[in-house]
Amino acid sequence: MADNEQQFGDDQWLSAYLDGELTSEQCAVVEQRLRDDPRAKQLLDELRDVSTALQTLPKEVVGDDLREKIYATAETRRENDFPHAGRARRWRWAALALAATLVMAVYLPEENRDEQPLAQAVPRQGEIAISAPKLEAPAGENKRDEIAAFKSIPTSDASSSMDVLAAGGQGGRKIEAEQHLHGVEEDFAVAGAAVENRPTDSASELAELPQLEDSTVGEVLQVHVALSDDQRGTEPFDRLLAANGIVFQEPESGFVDRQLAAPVGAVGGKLKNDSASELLEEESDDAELVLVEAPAEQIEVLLNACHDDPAQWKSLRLVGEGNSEVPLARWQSLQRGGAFRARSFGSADTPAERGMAAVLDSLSTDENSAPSLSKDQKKTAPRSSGEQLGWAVRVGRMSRVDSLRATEGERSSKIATLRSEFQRSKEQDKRKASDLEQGASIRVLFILHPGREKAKSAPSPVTKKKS
Amino acid sequence: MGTLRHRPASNRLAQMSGSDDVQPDDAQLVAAVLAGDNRAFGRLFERYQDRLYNTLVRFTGSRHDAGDVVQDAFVQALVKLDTFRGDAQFYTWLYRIAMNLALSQRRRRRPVVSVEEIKDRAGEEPVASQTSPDQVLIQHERAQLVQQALLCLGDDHRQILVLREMDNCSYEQIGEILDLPVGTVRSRLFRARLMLKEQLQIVFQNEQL
Repeated sequence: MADNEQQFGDDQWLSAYLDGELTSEQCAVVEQRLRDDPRAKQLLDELRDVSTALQTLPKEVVGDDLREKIYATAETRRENDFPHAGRARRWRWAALALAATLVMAVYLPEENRDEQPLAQAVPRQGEIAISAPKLEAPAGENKRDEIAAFKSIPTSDASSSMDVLAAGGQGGRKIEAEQHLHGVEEDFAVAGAAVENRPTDSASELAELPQLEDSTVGEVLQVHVALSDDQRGTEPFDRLLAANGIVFQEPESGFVDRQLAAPVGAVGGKLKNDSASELLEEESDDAELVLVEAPAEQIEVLLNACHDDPAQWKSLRLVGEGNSEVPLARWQSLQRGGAFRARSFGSADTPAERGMAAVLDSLSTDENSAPSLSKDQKKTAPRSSGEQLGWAVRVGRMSRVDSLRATEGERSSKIATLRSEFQRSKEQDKRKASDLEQGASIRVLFILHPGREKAKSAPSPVTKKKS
Repeated sequence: MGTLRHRPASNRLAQMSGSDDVQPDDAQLVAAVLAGDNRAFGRLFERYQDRLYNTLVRFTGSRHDAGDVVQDAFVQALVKLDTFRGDAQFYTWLYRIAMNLALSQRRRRRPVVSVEEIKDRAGEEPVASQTSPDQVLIQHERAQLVQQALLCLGDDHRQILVLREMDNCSYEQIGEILDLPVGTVRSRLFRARLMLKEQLQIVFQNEQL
């Protein structure tokens, strides 16, 4: 054993010798050994071969195809966002877009977002999801305008949206969905009035909301989010948290509830014989649990972002006390100071795009030549501060079936486990509570459902019937 | 920092460098960004995007993933620049951000590895410019196998190999980036090379090249 260690110690000098990381005295020792020991000479040659193999790998740079793709996407978006801009300004912006190719390659969707159907919510069987149509309100318009836009949607479109919303396939459900959506619309109006007429008394409203600290375990607000993109997993959600100043706290070893953990790692062993699509289909039954603690405003931003970006989020469903549905507008009514971020950003809708816009801004010498954050957004966007506004922890995975069918007792038990671990993790966290907004943080359990097959490949019964 | 993105561009950087021909160093650029000169961050971005991207392609084995990470890393660096203390090089700091993101991404992404993806991971550019088509093909296939072998290593070993062989970092720089003593860098790098040597033997044997 000691001989092996000694041998390893001696041999690692060969590696360092190869890298030119030895002193002249150390080099002399190694060179003497190389003269005396053929095995050392052979090992040095092998190490050199390994090094050469890596060093001769092609250098990766941003490719032309990627640049062209980004250019086209950027130009399309620019046309949509700045239809009245002059040609010179357009090309100036395009040049800036080229400079930021990588940035936009990641964040802009491949397909034109404007071609997305009005509502893309595809709830799972028996579920009703909140999914308002994507509205095209010009930048700077307020919430009241948005409500007006919402009401002005043609009846036929609204009907088709309802159909999608009621994709559970049951007539009664469809009616419920319509009522639900109507309720959302009403709540929008109420929320808008609240924003315009009075400062929200968030303290009293918060007291009514389910909070982990002050409620029984079963009363924790659960937010079911269905992700649109199979390929990217829960990454968009992580990105959303990061963009909103919510820092992931890596769990301690053993933190993850093993009972809930899906054998993701085991999948890799089957890859050679299974197609990627089969694997994705299998894995789409997973759900990931992310517990978030943040001020109510930040939770609201997350919910709005999920709600308003159907390209990334298929549906959003809030479940509160006693498994009751919680209208999204309930959270939107917490808006303070008239800050409404959901739809009025014009050129930068999602947090990811706002990040892109920020970088583009940094590349621009002329603020007016690039898609920028709107005035409202500049005023309210918390992410620009770089502050930590909340934190999150990935607490485990559970199958979709479990998440939907678990009895209340089972769910409560699991959440209780998560809560205690969560609390322990927080106590271990070096960050002090003063980093967060005192007294206003709320905990929400996000249950992230990976994307399923597109609706067009498996049309809902209601849609089918209408066609 | 809170208003970094929204301040109008200033001439601070030009005043600082005195001339457009003089390349300001990273510390000057960082200072300029913090003072509100948004162009300075663009210059940092242009300076390091390819280097970081190349490193991450080899670490993640995917251009797409690497692009995501580079994007996120730069945005995060921008919004957190006021936390950059300057006791490390800017690239070191940026690299740490990127690597944390890459590791986080790796943990949450499915380990789907297809043959086509492996091919894609190898890169498309020929290593040498004056070679025959057959040689180019062989080199390309060889690069695929090397990338495949690299991906078989654990994160720690792959990371240190990428830093040394592709990023050409010294042991001291690697130690700074990974927060390791130089002695550990030396032993880990040696072990990583041994492991890669074994993997290369396996993949080349399988392919009978």
